[in-house]
Amino acid sequence: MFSLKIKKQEVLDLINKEKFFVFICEGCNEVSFIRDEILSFVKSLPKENILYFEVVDYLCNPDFVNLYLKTFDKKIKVADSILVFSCGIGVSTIAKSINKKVYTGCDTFYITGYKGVNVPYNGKFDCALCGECYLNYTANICPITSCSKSLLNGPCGGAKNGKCEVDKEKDCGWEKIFERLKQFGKLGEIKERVFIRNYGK
Amino acid sequence: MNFVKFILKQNKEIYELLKSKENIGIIFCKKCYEEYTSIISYKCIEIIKDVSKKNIKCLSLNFLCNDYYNKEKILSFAKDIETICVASCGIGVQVVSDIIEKEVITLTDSIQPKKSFSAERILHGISINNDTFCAGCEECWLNLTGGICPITECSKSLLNGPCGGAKNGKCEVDKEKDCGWEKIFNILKQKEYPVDKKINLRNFYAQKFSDLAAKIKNNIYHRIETFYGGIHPQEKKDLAENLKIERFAVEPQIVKIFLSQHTGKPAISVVKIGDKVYVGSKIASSDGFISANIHSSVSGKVLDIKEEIHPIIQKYLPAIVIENDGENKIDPKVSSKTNWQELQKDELLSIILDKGIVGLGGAVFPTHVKLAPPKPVDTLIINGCECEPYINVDNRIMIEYAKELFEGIEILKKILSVKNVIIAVENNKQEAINILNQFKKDNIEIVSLKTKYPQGAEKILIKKTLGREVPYGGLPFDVGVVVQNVSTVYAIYNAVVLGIPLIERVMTVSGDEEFVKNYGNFLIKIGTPLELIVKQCFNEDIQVLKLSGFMMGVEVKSFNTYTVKAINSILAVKKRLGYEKFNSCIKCGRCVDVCPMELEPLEFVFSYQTNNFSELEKLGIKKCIECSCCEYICSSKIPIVEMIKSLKQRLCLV
Repeated sequence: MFSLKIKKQEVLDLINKEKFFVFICEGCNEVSFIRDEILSFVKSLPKENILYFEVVDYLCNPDFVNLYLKTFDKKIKVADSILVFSCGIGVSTIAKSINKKVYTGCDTFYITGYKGVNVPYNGKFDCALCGECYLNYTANICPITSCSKSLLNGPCGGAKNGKCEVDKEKDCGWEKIFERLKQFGKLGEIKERVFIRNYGK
Repeated sequence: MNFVKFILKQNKEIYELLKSKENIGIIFCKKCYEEYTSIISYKCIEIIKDVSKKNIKCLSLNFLCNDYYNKEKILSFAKDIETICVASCGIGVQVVSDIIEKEVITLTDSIQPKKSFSAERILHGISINNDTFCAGCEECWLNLTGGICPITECSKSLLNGPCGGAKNGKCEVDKEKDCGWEKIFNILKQKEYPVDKKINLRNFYAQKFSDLAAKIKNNIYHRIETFYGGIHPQEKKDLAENLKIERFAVEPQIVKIFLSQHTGKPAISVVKIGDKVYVGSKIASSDGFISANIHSSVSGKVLDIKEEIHPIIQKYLPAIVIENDGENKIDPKVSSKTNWQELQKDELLSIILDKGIVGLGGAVFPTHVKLAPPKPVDTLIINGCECEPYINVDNRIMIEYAKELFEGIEILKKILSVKNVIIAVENNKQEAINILNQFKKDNIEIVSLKTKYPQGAEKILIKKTLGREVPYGGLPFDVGVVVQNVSTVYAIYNAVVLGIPLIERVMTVSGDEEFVKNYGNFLIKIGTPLELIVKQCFNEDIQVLKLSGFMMGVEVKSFNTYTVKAINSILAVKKRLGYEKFNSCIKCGRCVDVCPMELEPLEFVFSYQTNNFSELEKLGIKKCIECSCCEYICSSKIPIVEMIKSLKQRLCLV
């Protein structure tokens, strides 16, 4: 799932050169909560450069994008370019559907949790769709996503006090796996198994 | 379709896993992001049973990764089962393991939707019928590359140009895939993008874990704070927020007062054609227990009793037509009573019955019925949440008539003989909260609630303020609570103290700026022609006119109708695009995420389409409060509420 951050400086550099029509996507607003921030930012931009702005949702769906482009056809015609505040997908979808320059006003960030569903309650867990599930052997904690280095054969040894050496705020995934295996009384099993990840799957 | 894919592990592996296990139960996730079918899960379970040659119990759930929602179901299923197996993507497995605090066995592998993407986590938005992806790389390159993402479109995620390995425009990693950089080159040329900037080095570490954790926490805070689900539509209250309540500028020539102004049986007319009536004269009397009296809002002559289109019900219903003589002569029976404290409980109730007071929050349930609950009541909640966008009625009444409001509360306290009174206000109405605090008396608590739609729904309000849960199919008095809207309390004050029946009410006339020329909070007489208000307040090119709220209100097609007691706002808003064409559900799970009653709206859509009504009752369709959250958030733009309403109707027939 995504969260957005406004590219303030880049938009301010860009804005004086052309006249823009602005799309603001609020489809995921229950997840990333940035719509109001974007709205106040857009309203603070110079009026002569922002001709119109529209708050719409689900710019990632090409059917809806075509509908929006058709509906706001007259307003879009007078603008030189389109500025889009949405995740990367929304921007790409619009860029593919219209023969006008399209710019983005946001950086897209990743939030743990599944691709759209139920982020709210389980930020703890993630799945990388690696194609080969290791959870049966690692006490149901995924080594691919919970270890910064996605190691499969044990901890790297760089962890200090249970915290990862890549990011000091993150718990070491393998230490969690170790503790949980101990809890289930299955420490012996992990020793015998060697994983080789199949990247071609 | 089929974005999130997980496939069963090979038969041999499943056999090995389940070989030595007994008493097996499988929790199956019904998958997300795919066309709705219920067959897949059964197929899988058949295979597993076949392979392991064992008797297996099964539980199929929607959105297994939503731990809040599925926790109890999983726990009760796992109670008497030794070995729990899970068939879902990696998240589902980890969630189940976390909930039951035991080791679980996964029977599936999760696989990428498309091969030969370099980025490890290829993510997508809600829509999956396109092949555009975003990797959430934390630094957007699209401004430099003409809207085509080099991270996901190039197999090697190169940022500074093609690798040179492409042949005839096809990637060297996968011969079926187009070279991303060739596409970028073409689009830059075609759309004449300025190519004056260099691509920087990619920062692989822009988002620290602590930032991520903060974002997740922020999400959780927003989503389960106060109650599960709910949405945050744009408030747009600012237009009419600071405008005082005024009388509507134009006096109607003719008013048409519908006989069904309330929930329950329509009232019976007590006037004849040609009768002279005054402001506040009773023109129709209640018929039966759940019904209410109706009074004239103008003085003049009764011209006719004929059928007109009811604005809310949208059907032809009888209405009393009165010609306004413009004198506004008040009926001699209307007299003020400043000494109401001396009256008995029953006398007060009969005044409320006589003056035709109904709940003005939107349900228009006769108040005298609500104030005589069959069970003992210990708490009175005054609902001043007003969570609907645009509307400012309760807000303005709390600011301007706080003193009257408290007197109204005293009357209610006497009728219900309760001690505890809670006034619930959303925290976006700070001015109202401050003023209420000034007038506050003992035993009255003012609760400021977080702004979130639908905070003002009765059952949610009770749960939030008192922690009591209204049982399935029950009413608030089952848990000892009566909820009254702020406007209703003000109307009760007017009826009891000033003796004025419910003949006019405050309405917010507002909308999106381009459609409104004359906005505000107006005191409008019941029976005023809608056309008059539309002409006076809105521009000619309005797209959608909504009565009684943006989320829960009714869209009116014809303006040839007249105001009723239920209408608390008249809004000219932009049309929400995309709802005309029917799109199929892609199981994104948003509706489950936002439903405040913790239902699964997508199941209702499914049974509407397949005409299968057997499961509806079990899914709790009666619990649905029709708050429109699911419809608002729906990524396929399905008119879910409309479907639920028709399902409810059909259920009654079956």
